Amino acid sequence: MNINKLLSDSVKTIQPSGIRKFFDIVTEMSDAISLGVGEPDFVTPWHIREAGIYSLERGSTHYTSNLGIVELRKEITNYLMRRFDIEYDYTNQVVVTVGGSEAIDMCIRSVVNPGDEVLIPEPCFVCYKPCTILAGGVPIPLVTKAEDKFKLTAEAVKAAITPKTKLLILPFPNNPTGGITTKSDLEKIAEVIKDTDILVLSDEIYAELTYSGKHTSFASIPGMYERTVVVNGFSKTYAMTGWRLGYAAGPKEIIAAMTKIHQFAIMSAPTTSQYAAVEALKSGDDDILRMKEEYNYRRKVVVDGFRNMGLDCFEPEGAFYVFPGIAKTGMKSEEFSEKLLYDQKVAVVPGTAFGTSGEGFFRVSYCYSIKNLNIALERIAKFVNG
Amino acid sequence: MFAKPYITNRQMRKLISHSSASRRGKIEIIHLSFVPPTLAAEWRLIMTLEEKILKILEEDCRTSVHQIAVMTGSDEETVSSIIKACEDEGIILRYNTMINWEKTTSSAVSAFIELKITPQRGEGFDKVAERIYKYPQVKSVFLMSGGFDLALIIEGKTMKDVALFVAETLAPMESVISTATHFVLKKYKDHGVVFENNEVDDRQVITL
Repeated sequence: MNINKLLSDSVKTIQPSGIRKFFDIVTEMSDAISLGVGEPDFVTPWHIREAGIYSLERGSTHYTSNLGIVELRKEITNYLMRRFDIEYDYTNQVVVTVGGSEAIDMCIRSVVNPGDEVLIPEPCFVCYKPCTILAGGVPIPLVTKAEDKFKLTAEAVKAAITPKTKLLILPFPNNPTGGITTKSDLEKIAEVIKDTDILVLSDEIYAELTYSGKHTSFASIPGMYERTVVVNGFSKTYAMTGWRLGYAAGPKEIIAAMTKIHQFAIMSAPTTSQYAAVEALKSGDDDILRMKEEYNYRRKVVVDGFRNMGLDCFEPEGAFYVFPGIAKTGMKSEEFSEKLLYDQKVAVVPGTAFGTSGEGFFRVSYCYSIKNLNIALERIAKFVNG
Repeated sequence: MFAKPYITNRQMRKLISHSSASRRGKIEIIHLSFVPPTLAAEWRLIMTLEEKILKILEEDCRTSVHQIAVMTGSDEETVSSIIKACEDEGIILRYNTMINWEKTTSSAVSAFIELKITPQRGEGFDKVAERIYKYPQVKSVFLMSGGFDLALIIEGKTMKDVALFVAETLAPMESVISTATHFVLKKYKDHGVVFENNEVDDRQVITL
């Protein structure tokens, strides 16, 4: 029997992650410094961990309701109101998910019919395209450029809209570019889609890591609330990646559809994580500020470092990545990343891992101590300038 | 007006008087005028440049002026002048190093001493505290609320050293009513530093 024949056509069209090769090389190297980690180096704040432990001691080890525990959904709606001025009903407009990723997958699957087009700004996090393909949709990349501060322009959206456009994804603050969208950027996009039937999936997982001004949620733009599903989570904000917990908030019809998928595929998000998350939302605001301050210091050190090497480096305004350009080296992204790894033992992620428009760039995460970042920057400088 | 989230030391000095207490009070007022009310939760962390520099140095006093300037988005001249001013004003008192002496061959013991004191007319506890902190064995002296008055940290080569210092020097002092000595057996965490940290970075080497 040819077991490969059993695989579905849609799964076969999905490319495996482009970084596997690098991953294997780095794992083998004992003295490599990796700047390739897309998660906080901070450990989850102790009071949050303790809330999780306490819930286990209490015996809270069962399924929760499909949507998530009421207390958590209430805290989520409080938080969204407090931070982004958007009001949701915790009884039917919020679903707690296994990370933001599950929410993204479910949102896409809830609305996309075969042939529907999904607008995806690129470079971007890797999940939107495969999730669209698995749902039978057609991913349409919208290229964002360094000269536009990696913002999505209203013109680009307008030019891509066809009668088949079903969904627009807004992944800002952006992994890998660090680009953000301001209120006025979002208002222009809103103007373009207000007379269409396009739903917006706004992935705001890095919302709290916005360094210039305050993050604006797309759902808070007048007229957009009714057509926006906001995805957020605890991983980046509270350094809780391993707890696997996120949520979606949006129109009750969409949340109801997503909950159908969720209840059959997942049942309910991890119970321990949900109790820890309640504590995070109740008393974690100071943790967010503390970590953001530290990220901000690192961001400046890293941007300064790359600019001193003579690389073009857009100063990212959100998330915890920088995305320097390598035009000066004359190399392609993959070649640059591989040679850098062998030559100076520093691992970065080639820009092409985030879409073809990432060619000519590489991604550096600054989720490391300044001491480590300085060592890595020195090594990269040696590689770039010989 | 909102473009500049913090003010420089120099501007600060122009704006307000020199006394440290009133200065701190007034900074907060200046701060609030810079910050829209909607950002009330965030303003607490919008520190003055001076506070940022002090926190960075408190964490690692070997952070270079250049590095601090980059981290705070300032310039080296401003950072140097702020550090100099903080040294002159006695805000920065010393650049310390945290050492885990347990890992060295030199041995030392330390003890917390609780002292009950009769305050002196006209001078309160200050004179007694001074008479005590002048001894080099006394590393720290705090005036406390609650069941006793002064808390001391004493260091010596041996437990006997410390015990004799308490018995022969502190206890006989005129205003000392009583002493209680607690020897430190093990340091877990001091000044925010965990001595044997068992938390590991177990992140995957690359994640997207």
